Amino acid sequence: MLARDNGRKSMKISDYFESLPFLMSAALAVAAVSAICFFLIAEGMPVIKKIGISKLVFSKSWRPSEGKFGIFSMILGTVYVTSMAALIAVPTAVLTAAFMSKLCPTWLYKVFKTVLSILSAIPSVVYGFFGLMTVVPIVRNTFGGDGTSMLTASVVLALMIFPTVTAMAEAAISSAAKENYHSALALGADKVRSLFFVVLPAAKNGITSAVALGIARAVGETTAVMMVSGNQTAMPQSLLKGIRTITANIALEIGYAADDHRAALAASALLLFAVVLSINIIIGILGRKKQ
Amino acid sequence: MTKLPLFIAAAIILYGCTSDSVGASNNNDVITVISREDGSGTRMAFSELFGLHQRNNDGTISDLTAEYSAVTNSAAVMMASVAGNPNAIGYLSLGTPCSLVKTVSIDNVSSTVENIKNGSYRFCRPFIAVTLGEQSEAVKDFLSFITSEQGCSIAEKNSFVGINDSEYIKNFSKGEITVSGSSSVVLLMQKFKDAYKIINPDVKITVQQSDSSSGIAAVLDGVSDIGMISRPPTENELEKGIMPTTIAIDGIAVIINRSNNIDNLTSEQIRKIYSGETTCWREITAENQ
Repeated sequence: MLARDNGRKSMKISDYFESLPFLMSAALAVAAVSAICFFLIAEGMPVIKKIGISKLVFSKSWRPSEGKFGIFSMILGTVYVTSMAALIAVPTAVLTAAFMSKLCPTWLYKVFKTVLSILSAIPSVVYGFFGLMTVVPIVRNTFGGDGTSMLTASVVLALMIFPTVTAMAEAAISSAAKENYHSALALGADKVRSLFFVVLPAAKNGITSAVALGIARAVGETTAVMMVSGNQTAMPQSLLKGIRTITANIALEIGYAADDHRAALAASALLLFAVVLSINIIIGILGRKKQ
Repeated sequence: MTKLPLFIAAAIILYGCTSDSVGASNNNDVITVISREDGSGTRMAFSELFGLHQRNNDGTISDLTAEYSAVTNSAAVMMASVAGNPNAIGYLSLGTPCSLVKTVSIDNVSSTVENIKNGSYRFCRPFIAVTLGEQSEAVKDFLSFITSEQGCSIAEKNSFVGINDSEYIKNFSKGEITVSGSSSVVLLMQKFKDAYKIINPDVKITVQQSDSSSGIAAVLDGVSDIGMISRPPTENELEKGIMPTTIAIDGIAVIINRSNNIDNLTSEQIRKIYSGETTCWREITAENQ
């Protein structure tokens, strides 16, 4: 630390100029976040003041042409779809990550790694199209109903967050408690036991932030969900009925929205922004704990 | 390993449940109602034409489309959903090519350009080009081409009803025109542009796709010269000086799955399906007999 401080003090003016492009690049990110934040507050605040935050959040009726802006059903929709997707994706992803990092042969690891990076690079509209053409008919023929439903959206979303969570969890598991794993093996525990009782507990923080990142992605996912969830504004009733998420609502209606309608959409975006921000803060806190 | 029997039991129960519901889905004929998003030009026209708009005492309009109907903001998703679901019903612009689905006739009138022209198919809406203030020579010339005999025949080749109320006199103007707006109108506008380019290659036309409201906003901001809208302009927009020109008439087609053996629906039946009063195809079949 001392050496670094000394180095900083002796920086020449030319050094400052050299670091300027770096500083400016970093500032761009900060500027973008503040600009988005400012825009959302400026657009959304008037309607929040007019309708009231509690009426916006807890009112069940979304009928913009009649001036009814209640996003409660969409908040529930987002919460349900996200948690169902997490329920499907997280156990699978953690087991896959554990398998990849400790149990599988090198050649298979390479195959998995490649497949996972391909999965995470597929654009969400392709996931949506795939869901619409394959998952929707399967759900309709197996369980009945329309096929476009909460279940379908959760399955497609789970597929989308799976590679993200797996990649991060794998990194966490690989870096955690290498010595302890080998010690456990040396003490006679088999591979699976050492994995579950030594490695996974040690990688807990890393896995939690992987899950949090997956959830943040799930909350924000729009296009794919919009194509397979049916987008009904009614309150979510069952797994096989359609739902509308907040992001889908914004994407569906922003093109035609004017005046209060537009502002209400901005207000729901503001809400979403706050949620994603708090997830990121949680990730930050978890990351600090790890150190 | 002690948990293995538990897993097997769970698997059997799960399998039992799913095979039960397979049996149930065979005689399931609940209509899957698919609608467009609130505020879209196609939805506004559909709700207005089929009596789903209810005027309230305070002057506002309620859309009676059932809350549980599925919503999509894209004609492609609409088509794919109806093509893949034997129980689905949806609606589209007549100009959207749709060989994957079946178009029903309404009140025993089939949705053809011919029937819209002679007035027997009344489920249609105007496509409108809007401009602001003094039109440039190029814009004037392009619009007069669209509403001429040539423009009219282009529209009709693409399943729209064209407008033929001015004679187009070839006028060698120069300039650039930016056109933007409704995705429903874009297909047709592209065709107009291609034909016009042959006659008047010195006018450079750019067609951008967004939506009706953005199209008008672009014209008001001076970003675009012509805005394309698939709904009538609001009073608020007209007050700002928007000048509408009708460039074509578009029919609204009601579509169902090809395996559905219904060929005709009355407009009252369609209203009831969309407002949620009718929920099963069985009721429709019974009424039709």
